[in-house]
Amino acid sequence: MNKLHFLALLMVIIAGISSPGVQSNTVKAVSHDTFDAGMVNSSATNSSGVKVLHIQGREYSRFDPQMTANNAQATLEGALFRGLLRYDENSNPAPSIALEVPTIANGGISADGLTYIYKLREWKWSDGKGVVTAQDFVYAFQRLVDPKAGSPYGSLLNGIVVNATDIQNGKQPVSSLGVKALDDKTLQVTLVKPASYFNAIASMWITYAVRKDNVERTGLPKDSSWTDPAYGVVVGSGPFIITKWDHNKEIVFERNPNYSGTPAKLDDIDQIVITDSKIAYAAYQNNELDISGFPSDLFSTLKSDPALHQYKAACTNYLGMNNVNPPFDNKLVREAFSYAIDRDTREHVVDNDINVKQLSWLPEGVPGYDPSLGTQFDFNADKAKKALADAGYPDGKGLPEITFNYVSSSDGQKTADWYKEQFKDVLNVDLKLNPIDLKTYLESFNDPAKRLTGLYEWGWCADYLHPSDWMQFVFGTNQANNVVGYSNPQFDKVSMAADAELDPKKAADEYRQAQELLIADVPVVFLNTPTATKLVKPRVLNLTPNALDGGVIGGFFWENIDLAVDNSTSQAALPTAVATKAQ
Amino acid sequence: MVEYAARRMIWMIPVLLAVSLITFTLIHLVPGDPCNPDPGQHPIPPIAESSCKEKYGLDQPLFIQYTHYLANVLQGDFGVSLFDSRTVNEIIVDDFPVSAAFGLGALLIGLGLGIPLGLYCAARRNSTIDRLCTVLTMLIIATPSFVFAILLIFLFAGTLHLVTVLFYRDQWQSWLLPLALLGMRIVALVQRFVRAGVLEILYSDYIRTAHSKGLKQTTVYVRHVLRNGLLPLLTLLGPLAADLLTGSFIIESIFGIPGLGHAFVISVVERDYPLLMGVTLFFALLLFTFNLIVDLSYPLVDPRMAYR
Repeated sequence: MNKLHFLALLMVIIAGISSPGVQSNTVKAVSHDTFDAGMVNSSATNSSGVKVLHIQGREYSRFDPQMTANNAQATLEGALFRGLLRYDENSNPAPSIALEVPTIANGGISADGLTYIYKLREWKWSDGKGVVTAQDFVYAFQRLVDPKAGSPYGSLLNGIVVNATDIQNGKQPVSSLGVKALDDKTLQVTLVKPASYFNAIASMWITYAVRKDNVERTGLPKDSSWTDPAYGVVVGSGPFIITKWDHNKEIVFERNPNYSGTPAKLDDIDQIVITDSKIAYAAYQNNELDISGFPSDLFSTLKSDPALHQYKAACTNYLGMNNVNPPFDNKLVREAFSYAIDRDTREHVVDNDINVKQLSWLPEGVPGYDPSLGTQFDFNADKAKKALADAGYPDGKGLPEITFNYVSSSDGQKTADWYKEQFKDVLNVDLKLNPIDLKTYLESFNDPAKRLTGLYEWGWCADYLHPSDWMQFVFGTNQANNVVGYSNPQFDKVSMAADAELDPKKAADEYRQAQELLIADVPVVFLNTPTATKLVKPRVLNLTPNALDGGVIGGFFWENIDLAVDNSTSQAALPTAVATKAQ
Repeated sequence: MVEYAARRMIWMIPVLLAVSLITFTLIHLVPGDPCNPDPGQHPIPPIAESSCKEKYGLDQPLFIQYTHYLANVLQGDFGVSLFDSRTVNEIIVDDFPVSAAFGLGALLIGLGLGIPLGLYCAARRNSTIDRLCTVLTMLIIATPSFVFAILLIFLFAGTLHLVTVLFYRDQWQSWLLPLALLGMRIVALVQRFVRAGVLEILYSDYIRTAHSKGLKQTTVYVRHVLRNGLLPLLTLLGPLAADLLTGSFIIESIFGIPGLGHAFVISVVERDYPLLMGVTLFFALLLFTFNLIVDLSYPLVDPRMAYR
């Protein structure tokens, strides 16, 4: 055999092995039928009946609830800690360590809406030493707003809880915060203004109770090391405790034997740090992982796999434009650009269907979500042409040059090229493409002096599951988050009234009205909501996804997750609530 | 010899200083801020950012930061990681043995297979086996290791189920694939080096002379060819060993092996300045040491090289 022949043969072998279609099917068939799951200690249940859930993980810096801004990290903290309240399956606040959700009716909220009382139940710390007290929550809230601690969510309580703003600005000591322990079992929070959404904030991970003597124990290499079990027992209050952290390799949560809620069904959650999606997928197929990601280019191939689940995140992406300067100060021009986008094609061509088309402002998972809102601005080439003509630019004539800004990357380029062609086809508008670096792109949204001119894609993700995080907070006149410069006094009035409304029913009506006003004004062009896509083995039961869980599926109800002993138990128990099955 | 070694050690000081200074400068030239890692989605309030910077000394002028860092390093303290909950010293102590075990294994495989293969191919130049080796080694060296990693994983883990995809410390089977991947590169490298070195000697005048004097084939081979032909390999060995022991960025990241290579990648992604500095300096120190060992061993193999 000469060199050439040999090389040719080798190429054929390699091509055969790496061809994805052929390959993955073969692997799957083999792994489902013949692979002995007990070969590694990594499958659902081993011979001793210990239930271990194996999930693809990543490395985290720490599991410190007050210091967390990352949703995936927060979701894992939900396994280790508990707060006053938690979100239920419908994203509404439900009791956790607090006995009930305070309302005016049950006397938990004062008539003026300024004082909240949380009565605590008997709730043990995971080390069995003592129970969670109101003082522990005071400590957690103080850590959150302490500027020295530097929480990324430190400013969330500003303008809501008494003295939070002054503490953040260093003008008042943390002890002056309007969160007080009236006794061991009673926590009082005093607000500066009525805030219908405070219970939604009290359901966030940032208010999870942590125990001062555990957080501030001596002998730690740095402040954040208290959540690393290598430096001693990490005391929590959730259904699991962290017992092993093999950095960059594996993080193990074990069932908390002292948990005061419904005990977890799983014995262990084993997160294996694996960043390469191809490897994670191979491990999933090899029964080494129960929940895993996969290479995004396999999405269309895997769509028909019943194990594939697509979960919507509480985020809305939009095409943004400056509402103050011409030509986008004219609502008809903004309308024209909304009509001009064929979102179905865009999702398919540009995003590979990883995002899901959405025309309303509130995404699924946030109370008040209504998919029927905004549909009037969906793709319609005729309406697009007419709106642009009505605005005084028939067939795009007379329209000043419009820039499309995007992060220079292959994905960014793909998006930009698509818009350029689409707007040329429908509106006869020639976009000027402006690729910029990520840093400049991000800065433009933080610094009003550096705002981009023209069009750009941007979005908003929920901090907590309540419409107040989306209305006045994002689109209020002169609000820091209002990057497009939208201003409508009527919207301001309705949305501020909703934020202060104490009657939940009335507040919901006002939020709906605010969303309708906002959508009618087309302040931005709504595009889609992003999703997390995961492969989930059929043996994983009772997974309850949440729009806030950041891709770590099932985070708010870790204690419910179970593993079927028999592989034949199937899909029926998988979630349908927030989950949208890919078809 | 002692004098030579001492001189080299003294030289090490300015070299390490230069490495640290260049790394430090490069790190601070790269955009990104460890105290405000996600300015787009979650900008840190200015007061929190400044308290973070104060805590890690990042508010100081760069020159002061650098001298503080050096002073600490001289006392054996590489500082705390910004991302990880461990100190940089702890990370090196935890992760180096894993990388070193893989590196040492790969090196042994590489030398154990590469040297005999290289010798054989040199002796049987242009035979079928030699040509096969040439193609294979070229293929191995030219193909990025992640390509082979994926191929081998799908073959041995996905299809044949002989090993696991993921790495588990306590299961020896899971060490096999990464070791084979690391090792095969070294085999290829060593084979080519040995083959080329030996071939050069094989056709030199003094070997012809030795043959003509009537020396036995094996004597010529063992005493003359081998000894001189393996010399270039010694040069390669220093940097190769240092490189292997500190871990492969790619293989460790792919298999999720918690070694120094993986730590290095994470330190870059997370802007973990102290970890990045620490790992780089550690690598430089190791490289220097191995080169010194190699240089010191030259005279043992080749008496023509004496210390000046």
